[in-house]
Amino acid sequence: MKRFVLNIFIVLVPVQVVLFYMFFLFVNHNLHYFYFTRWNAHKFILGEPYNDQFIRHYKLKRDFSEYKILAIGSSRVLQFTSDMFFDNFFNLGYTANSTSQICNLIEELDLKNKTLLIGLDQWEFNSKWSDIRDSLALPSEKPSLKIIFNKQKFEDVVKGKIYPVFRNSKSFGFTLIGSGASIAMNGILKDGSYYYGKIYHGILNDMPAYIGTDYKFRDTDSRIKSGTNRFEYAQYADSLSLLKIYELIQNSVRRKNKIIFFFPPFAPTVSKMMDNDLYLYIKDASKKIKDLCNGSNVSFFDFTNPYFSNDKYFIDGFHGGKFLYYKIAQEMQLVTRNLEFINQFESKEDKDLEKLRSYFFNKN
Amino acid sequence: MIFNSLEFYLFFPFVFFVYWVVFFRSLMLQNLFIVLCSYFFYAWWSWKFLGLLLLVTILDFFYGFFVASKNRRKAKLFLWLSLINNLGILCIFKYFNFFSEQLGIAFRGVGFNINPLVLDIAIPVGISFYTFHGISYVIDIYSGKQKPIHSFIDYSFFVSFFPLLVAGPIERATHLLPQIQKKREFNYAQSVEGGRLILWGLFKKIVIADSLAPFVNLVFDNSAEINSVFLILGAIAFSFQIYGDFSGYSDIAIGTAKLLGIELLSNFKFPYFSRDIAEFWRRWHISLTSWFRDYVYIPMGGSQRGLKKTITNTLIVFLISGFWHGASWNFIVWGVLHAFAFMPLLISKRNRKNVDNVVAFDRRLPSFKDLFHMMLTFCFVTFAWIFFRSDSFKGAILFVKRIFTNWFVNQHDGFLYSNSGKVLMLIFFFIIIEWYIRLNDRVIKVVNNIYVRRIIYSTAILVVVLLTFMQKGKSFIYFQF
Repeated sequence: MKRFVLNIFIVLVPVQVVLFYMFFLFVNHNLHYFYFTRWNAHKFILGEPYNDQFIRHYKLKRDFSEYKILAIGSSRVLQFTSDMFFDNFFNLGYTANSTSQICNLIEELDLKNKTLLIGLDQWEFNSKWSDIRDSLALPSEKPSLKIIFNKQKFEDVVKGKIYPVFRNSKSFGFTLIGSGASIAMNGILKDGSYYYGKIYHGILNDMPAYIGTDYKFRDTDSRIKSGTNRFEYAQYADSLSLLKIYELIQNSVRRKNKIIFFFPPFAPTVSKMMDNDLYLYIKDASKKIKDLCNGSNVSFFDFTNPYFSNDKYFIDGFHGGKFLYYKIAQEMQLVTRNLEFINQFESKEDKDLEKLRSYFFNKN
Repeated sequence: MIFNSLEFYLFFPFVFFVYWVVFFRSLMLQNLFIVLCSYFFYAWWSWKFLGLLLLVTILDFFYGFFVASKNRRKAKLFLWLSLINNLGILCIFKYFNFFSEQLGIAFRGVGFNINPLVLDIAIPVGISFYTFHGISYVIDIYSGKQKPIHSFIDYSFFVSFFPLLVAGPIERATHLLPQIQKKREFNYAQSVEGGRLILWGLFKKIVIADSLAPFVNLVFDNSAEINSVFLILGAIAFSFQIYGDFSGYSDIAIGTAKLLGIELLSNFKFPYFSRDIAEFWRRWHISLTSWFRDYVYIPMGGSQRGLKKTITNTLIVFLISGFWHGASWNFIVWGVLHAFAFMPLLISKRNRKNVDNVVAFDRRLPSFKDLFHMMLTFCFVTFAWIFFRSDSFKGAILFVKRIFTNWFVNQHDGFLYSNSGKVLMLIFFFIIIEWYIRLNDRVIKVVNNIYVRRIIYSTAILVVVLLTFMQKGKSFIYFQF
């Protein structure tokens, strides 16, 4: 019996060592979570593989009383940055995917006397999408051990998705927290906006692997051709979503918020692909939202295909880059700063780009 | 609780420790402890059916005394009562809805439109296995092979022993009860073999069967949209999935029992290396095949009453075997197909041709003749598995039809292309290992160097633990039967 148990123990020692190492990675990864929620003083890029849950919890932990302007919506508002505005700004992008979630968020955070830039994804007004969108509801749980120690993360440690980042590296003037930031230089900045290091680098160097599935808008093209995955076809705007817009307008009066709705842009090539009778609901929604906003202090901008747009300003088919959003902010007459922007996806002169390039080349 | 779960990885070391360290002096306490653990193991799946398990156990325990009566009429009466009880319970839970629906169809066929009564109840896991244990006990007493036992704990151990409670092997009272009643000593060699079997079983289940499952599921669930080549590959993959799944379960069960000092019946002996269908059935689910042979085929006269009667008996056994697997026409057809493949061997008296020897037992590779026969047998078995795996008989026929018609269909090709390499690799890897160990029934031969051996064990344990966590313990296919 003793001999048998001893042999089992010997065989299990390496197993335990490996499991312990993986557990260490797992815990190390989760330590970032506590770390960055208390982080305020430094410049950082926080990149983790669990953006949806992670970003939301991180962002909602803020004290919003100090901010005058807030951007709210899906990932398509994440490109507004604090340096575009004189007033204190925070980007709440990726915290609400639908109009009802936006309504709930304003209530949840009790936002009053703010300027709210609310990005309305066009597909929100497509009834065919509305059936699907509810299944994409964001988690409402507060940060808890249940979220931190979940099977998914352990599985990702096993799959090697979470890398052994033992200390937070510094690069580019930023402290890089988490494996997503250290390896791909993707992640949220302190102002809540998102930095697309890997894709940015990919676009700069025409590297399809870095850009991902939407290289040359191929993924968006296939979605449009098949009419799936947010690009479903419809003639008319969904009245339920329009009703939510009406609620938001009423809400703004009650809470004394200044609301600016906008349709985020599509890349010009994508807009051309969609310029047919299959997406008439977008124009219909645009017209009806304008009508709803008439006579209130709420404004609406349709940037579906803005005149100042260019494919080069896009991260993918339906996510614009920082420069484009700066132009959007200008159009909204919110920008009082003259940043003399150099488009991060166009100019190779940008010093930051050079640093980024060297970051990746050194890593490669 | 299933074997490939973290719960079981914690449960079994606890059972092992208490069994050998705390209760090793008392056989009665050891047996009682195993019974309690078995009920806990079963309750983990559903405590609601514990009562049914207990009822079946109590009834057969008492029937045993009456069946042992010297008054043969009384013995026969209680034998029938036991059979009615066991088969009745089995019929209510497993076959009632099937018969009710068939009756409804028959009535509709003659112009009466009736709504068949359908029971909305789950099939208790393992019911086909533990009722068969009870039947075997009572029949063995009736035929004088076994005496009724007086300890209810020992009998409960026999019926509910957790390694074989939910998916076999189907044990015989004459084989298992003497071991239960005898004082057990810890045996190092037996335990090492048990440990190896558990590991090999988990490997077959988690690495082979569960890895093939997504491919197989996609192919069988969407056969209308799948190219013929992938339909064939999907059917082959299922052959290995079900083998890895079920034989993996059996190996874990046998290995677990060994660690508790109990030897169970062998259930698989490399069935895909069979050279004809008769040999296949001597190597596949052996405990069920031999159960049907001893308790159905032989009592009906077996092969002792002429060829015609032998053919009828064989056909009945295969039919029952198919029906045992599930109350559905596709399982019945699966059984009939095997019967038809078996008949030519029976008629030409070649069904016992490959009884004693293992293929290529004295050489490394099989002869061309053996290889041809093995492949032919495998092709037939795989064809029959299509009926077994499909949701219905109609679905199986459509699947077979699509193998011949879907040459230009190419939906899902992306997933299937990218995964077919992995599927083929797994199958190839599995065949190689099985071929290497085919001469040893249960002993998994590993390298002689102890350090290399330990590395292999450690790596295998790590892979199994990690995959268990990642795959979240997929259930075994045979639980449904």
